[in-house]
Amino acid sequence: MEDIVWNNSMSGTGKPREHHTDSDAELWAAFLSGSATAFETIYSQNFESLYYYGLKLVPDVALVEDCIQELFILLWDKKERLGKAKSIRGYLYTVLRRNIFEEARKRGKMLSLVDGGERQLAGETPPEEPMGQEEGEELSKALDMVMKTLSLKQQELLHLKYHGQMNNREIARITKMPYSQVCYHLKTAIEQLYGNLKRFRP
Amino acid sequence: MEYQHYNEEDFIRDDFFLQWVREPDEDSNSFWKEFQEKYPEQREVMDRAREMVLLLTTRKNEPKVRMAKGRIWDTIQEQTAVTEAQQGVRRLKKDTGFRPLYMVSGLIVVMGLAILGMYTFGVFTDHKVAGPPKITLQLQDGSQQVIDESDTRTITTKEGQTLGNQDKHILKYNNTQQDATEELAYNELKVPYGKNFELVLSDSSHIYLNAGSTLRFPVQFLPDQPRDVYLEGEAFFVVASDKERPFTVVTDKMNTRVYGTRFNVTSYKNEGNTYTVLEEGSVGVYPPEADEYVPVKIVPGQRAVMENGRVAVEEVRVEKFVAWTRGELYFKNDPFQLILKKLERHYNVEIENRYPKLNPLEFTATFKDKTAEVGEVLDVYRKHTPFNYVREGNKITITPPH
Repeated sequence: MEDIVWNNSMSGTGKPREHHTDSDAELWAAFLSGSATAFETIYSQNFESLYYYGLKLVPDVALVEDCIQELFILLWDKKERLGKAKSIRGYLYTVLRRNIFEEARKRGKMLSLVDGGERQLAGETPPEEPMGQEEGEELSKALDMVMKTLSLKQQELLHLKYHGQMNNREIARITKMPYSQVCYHLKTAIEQLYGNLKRFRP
Repeated sequence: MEYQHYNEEDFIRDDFFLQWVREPDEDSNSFWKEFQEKYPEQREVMDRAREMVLLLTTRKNEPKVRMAKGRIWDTIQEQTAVTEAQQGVRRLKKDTGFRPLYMVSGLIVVMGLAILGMYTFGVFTDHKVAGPPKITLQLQDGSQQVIDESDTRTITTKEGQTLGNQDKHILKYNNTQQDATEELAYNELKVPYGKNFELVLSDSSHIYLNAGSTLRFPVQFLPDQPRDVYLEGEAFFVVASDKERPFTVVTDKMNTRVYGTRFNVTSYKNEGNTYTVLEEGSVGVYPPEADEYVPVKIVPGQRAVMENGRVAVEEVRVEKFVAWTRGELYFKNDPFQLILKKLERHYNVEIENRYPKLNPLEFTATFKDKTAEVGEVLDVYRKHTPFNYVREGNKITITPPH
């Protein structure tokens, strides 16, 4: 586990405000002081994000589930040693990412994870179930299909950016990629996304 | 680039725009309102971008994920003190399950290597005895038993008390109900050079003893009494968690207090180094003479080293320190001097270095092939830095190159 103090510096042209609210810091503090309720809240607020994020890293449901379980067990066991966290999710992403890669390596599932691009595993992406009520929406369906044409690296970045609501600096910290590369890869991922979407959306 | 020139793709990458879509507030509302009044042609672009952001952010609601969420939470509760605090349940870490199996193959091979040894020392270099090296167990009645790793048998005292069972390379102690008024009875296991051995204590803690190590431990732990074991040499511990009875590994230079966990303790007297490396869980270390000790806690991936009576903590690659449990040799930036010590233990050979210039040189190498002989290992080093060696029996002499 790392002690991370997350500071948010925004990268946009506008004048940003810190989007991680005080409640994040408060929740974290409550958890550090041993509140089981705070712990459960953290779990419950972040599980889905971590789950889908993990699958973008290694498409292996069992491995991802094990790592999330271990992450939270260690989190509780080590809370006395953890530092402040302004962005809980950012912290959890960082630790989970490292654990998943370590575990994948141990289990001999090392894909070419360091450099993106070729990480696409044809046919190995987990089967996705339909989207629920809104599935009638053409665009959302199209988006799902187009998303699968991107590399896992691109999907990882897009996940962090949109589901995870991380800004580019935070993404750089989580993925240990240079900031400029995060910006560049996101840009090309979005270009590709739009390029492929045109076929579905005139 | 200015916002008036942004296209849809630019907007969805812009953190300030994203923030407004997700969590609009007064500042951002007024900023974008003003912007749209000034550049009405951008309104449509922004609406599309906004829709895209929301789509990209939407979480799927998959039943299998919901189920996983509940299931994993249950396990987390079982495994953490969250429930312990609420129900007072004593927990036992599940992780003792897979490693021992994984270990078995590694150990058998290491034992095969022991055949290489012809003459031997006992556990300590000053206790030289003739004959092949033997694992010995000293019981509480003072009697000494030789453990033959091909045996499967019951360990009993002279009085007929059954202590536990040996199943080849692993010795398991029985857990019998103890009265708090009873006295602790100790056994002592000595593993000579060239051998490894496994021990399961009465509390189910699993211990892997490396070559040239001695462990003194209570046959049974008493209720409400701390669990103390005494180590010289090196051992990897998988300690059964028990909040009421802390587990402490005592060495002459440093004590390691355990809170339920997997870790490696090294304290070879003839090497002058004592340290603990943590693979998982949590341990605290402190000097043995400290009365009012405040343990220095380390986290997985850290090593606590005793240096001049003080505990120093550093980040390490754990793999280096636990590779021996799989019968592998793992050297990273290690001085030749230290490498020779490890080879002596691993292969039960005596190595005399008459080329002292080599001693401080650092090498990095891993020997995963468990059938590699000591000569092959030395040959690898010779390729890098030339030297000569001769072997007579179990004695190897290193000399400068011609």
